[in-house]
Amino acid sequence: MSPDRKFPAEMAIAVFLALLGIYILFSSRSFSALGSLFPRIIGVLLLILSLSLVGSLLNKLRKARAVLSESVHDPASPPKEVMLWRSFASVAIMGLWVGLVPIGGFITTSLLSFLAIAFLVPREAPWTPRSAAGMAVSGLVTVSAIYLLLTKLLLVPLPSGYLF
Amino acid sequence: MEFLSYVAGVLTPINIAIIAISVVIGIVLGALPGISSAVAVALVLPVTFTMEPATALIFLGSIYMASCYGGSYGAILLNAPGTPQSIATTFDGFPMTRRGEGALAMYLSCLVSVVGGLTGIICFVLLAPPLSKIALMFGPSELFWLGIFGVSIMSTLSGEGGPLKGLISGVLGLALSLVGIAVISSDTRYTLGMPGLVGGIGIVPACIGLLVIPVVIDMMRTKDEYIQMPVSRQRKVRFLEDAMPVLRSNRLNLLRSNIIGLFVGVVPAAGGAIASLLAYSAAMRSSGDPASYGKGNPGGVIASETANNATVASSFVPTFVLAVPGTPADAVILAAMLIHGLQVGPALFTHHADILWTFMLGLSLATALILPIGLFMGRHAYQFIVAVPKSYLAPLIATTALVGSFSYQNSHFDMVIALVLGGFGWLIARCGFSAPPMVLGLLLGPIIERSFTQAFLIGRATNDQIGIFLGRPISIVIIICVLISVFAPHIMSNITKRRGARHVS
Repeated sequence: MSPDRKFPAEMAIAVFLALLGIYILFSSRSFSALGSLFPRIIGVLLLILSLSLVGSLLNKLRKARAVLSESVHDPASPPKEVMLWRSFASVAIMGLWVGLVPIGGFITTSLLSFLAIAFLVPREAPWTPRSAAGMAVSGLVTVSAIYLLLTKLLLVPLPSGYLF
Repeated sequence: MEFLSYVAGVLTPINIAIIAISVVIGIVLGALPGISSAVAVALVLPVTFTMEPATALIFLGSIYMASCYGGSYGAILLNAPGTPQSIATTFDGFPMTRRGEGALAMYLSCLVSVVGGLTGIICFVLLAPPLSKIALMFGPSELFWLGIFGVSIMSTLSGEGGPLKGLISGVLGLALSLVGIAVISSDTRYTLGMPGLVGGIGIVPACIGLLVIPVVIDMMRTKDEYIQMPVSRQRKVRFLEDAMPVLRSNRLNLLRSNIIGLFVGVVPAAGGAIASLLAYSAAMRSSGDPASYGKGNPGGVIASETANNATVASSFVPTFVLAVPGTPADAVILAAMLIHGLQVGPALFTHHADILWTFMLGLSLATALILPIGLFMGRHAYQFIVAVPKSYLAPLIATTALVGSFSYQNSHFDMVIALVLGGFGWLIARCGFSAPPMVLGLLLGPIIERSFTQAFLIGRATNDQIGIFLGRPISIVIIICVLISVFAPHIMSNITKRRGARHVS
């Protein structure tokens, strides 16, 4: 991201962290004397550092604008195609998986999310029926192997649901 | 003659077989996200109940040592440290993998883990009593400053967006450690009314969330392959031809990281994570090219992996001499010793000397065996990562990450935590905030808070608040190190700018 495009996101995070510092400080009033000692220090530190970041960002923006107004746009190599929607979709798939695992069980939901993420990954070669079937088999083998390794060999329980 | 009888005790067919098996099990368990060294040792503890005490200790110790090395697999190949001790390994190990030097990183990690592990064992044998005296000199205030030092160096070194963002990440990690029941006062803090947060934010789900999930999310952004290997690097990396010269040029780094690992290991509760970070920091500062650290400098992998394996044996010093476990894995080994009727403390060195020295010899053999087994497994692990397409790797990492976060405490809520922190970590990483300081802040938060509160109470009782924090010699040394770590980057950058301005004018 260019400095100008990054600025709103960085500023939003800095303000969020400053508010978090205030929340930590404010909430510490309800704790015992010993329990509130460390949170107060952390709250103050977070607040000071976040405000310093706000100042530093404003300063940087001012300098960047001054430099940009004097400079000529550099026709560098074209930017790579970035597919942010896929990133957000992957978070949504993982969220659905975590949400549905108590209902669907480990193997069912893991296999579905495995395949969903696999087909979401951007790739040069398009999917063919053969490559898709290969991925489905790989997913089934991988999920089953993880299940068997953890539950049967290491005796580590995995999430269970109404299905399997 | 006595020594030969100990050697004979180790070199029985059953012991050699157990050592080889335990090394393989330890590497596999350590490589799995969510299975820390302590969990790995605890998982196999029941198996040892029917073993002879010396065999049981060799089995557990070998798994501990091998899992500590195994943690580097995930750190180097997936940016997912299998154990917290390997967090610093991700800084340079993962960039090395991304640019096609993962095999070299794996070789180096294996070699220096063996060197660090063996050095730790030798130092335990020679220096256990004097080292335990050093451990006793670390009171609450020293531990507090050591924790602060850990967070500060991490923050200023790994902050890709600058030291300020690095420091904020570290403090944010400390803030995350406040969630749950307070370590001293038992207040329930910042749980937002969620029962799942009462136990706090676990280090494993946080590690997975902040370090691994963003890798999966990032894989979705472009069509680029996971490992971008230039044609010039598409040749077989050879152990002697490629790894040994790098190691030779990092001789001082290796020695220094060993010493750091040994000393941090003897401090109770400090452990391999702090040791590897301190060693990493020292390696970077003394390097002629500090800017290359964090971008795939093999010196970073060497420093981190040497130090964390050196702590394994040295952390046995407080465990065996003072009955104070140096790390959670040591606590499990201590429990195994008690189960087998072994008395820890100075008596261990006299009444059960045969078991202790047989254990140390067995551990040495296990550490040496990591070299051939680790080189073989490491090479194949890297070849697997290189060969598989991104469309298979991304769901594989996502599945193992979320399973790892669940298996930490068999908690569904930990999966939620991993995912939320993963999304948050990815968002803030895009703005230059780095995740490792946050993980370290979370890891060290309880130690720092406990030490701080204890020191505060001691200061109040002795009416010397300032003296307890700022007046003790070891504390003063660590405070100076903290100040250097925080302010040195600013000073150095100002000096560089001024020099640049002078050259221009």
